[in-house]
Amino acid sequence: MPAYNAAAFLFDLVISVTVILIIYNLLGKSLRELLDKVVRIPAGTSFYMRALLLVLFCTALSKVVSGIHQKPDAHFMEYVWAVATDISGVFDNLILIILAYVAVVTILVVVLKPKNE
Amino acid sequence: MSNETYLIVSYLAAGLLCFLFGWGACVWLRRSVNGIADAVPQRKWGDLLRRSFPISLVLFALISFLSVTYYGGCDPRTYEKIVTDRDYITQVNQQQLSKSLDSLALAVGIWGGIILLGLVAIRRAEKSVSK
Repeated sequence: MPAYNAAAFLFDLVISVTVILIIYNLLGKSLRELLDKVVRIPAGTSFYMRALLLVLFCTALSKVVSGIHQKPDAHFMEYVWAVATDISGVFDNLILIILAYVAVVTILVVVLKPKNE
Repeated sequence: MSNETYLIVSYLAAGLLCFLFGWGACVWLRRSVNGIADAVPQRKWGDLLRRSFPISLVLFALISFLSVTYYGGCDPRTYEKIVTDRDYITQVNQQQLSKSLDSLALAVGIWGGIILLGLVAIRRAEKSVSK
């Protein structure tokens, strides 16, 4: 992989990982409290928290790993657009994953019926 | 390194990486899955969950890797053309890793559903005991 494509790939990777960590930090605390209350088995809470992180990483990295394939004579903005297209794909995947995850947690809450405080 | 050697080494490396993705995911989640498998009401069901979890994740990762073809879909290539184009080989390797990661995410999603059913069964068993 030529150096300019590798640099764009690294930039892509850093942005994606940062976004994932931000999302996980934003959701993590309240999600863990909710799961603790609903599931009541520590292994269950741990599974869903770890699964969320794993799935976020897998779906984001699957886009990033496809790489950026610009020709050596490409202009700077063409690299920017290539990274933007990749990041757009990452965001698409993340939105779908978060929606699916919220659906699963909602089903958990409805089916397991936690006692109200 | 000759082109043929490069093709072989990159293929094996991508395969190993996909296997490690599956195995890594399994290690990351195994303890919590085992915890739930221990808590499900039927012991045999717990055994099934415990044993099928690592197999399914590794297989999901490997199947996706194996399903990617070097010959191209709409633009078929001959073996000679594939071997001489290292950029193309790299692109196919990236595609293999990408599909493997996608499948892994799908597999974990499916296991999320299975674990949900396990949790429902555990709750029902707890309720029937308390009655």
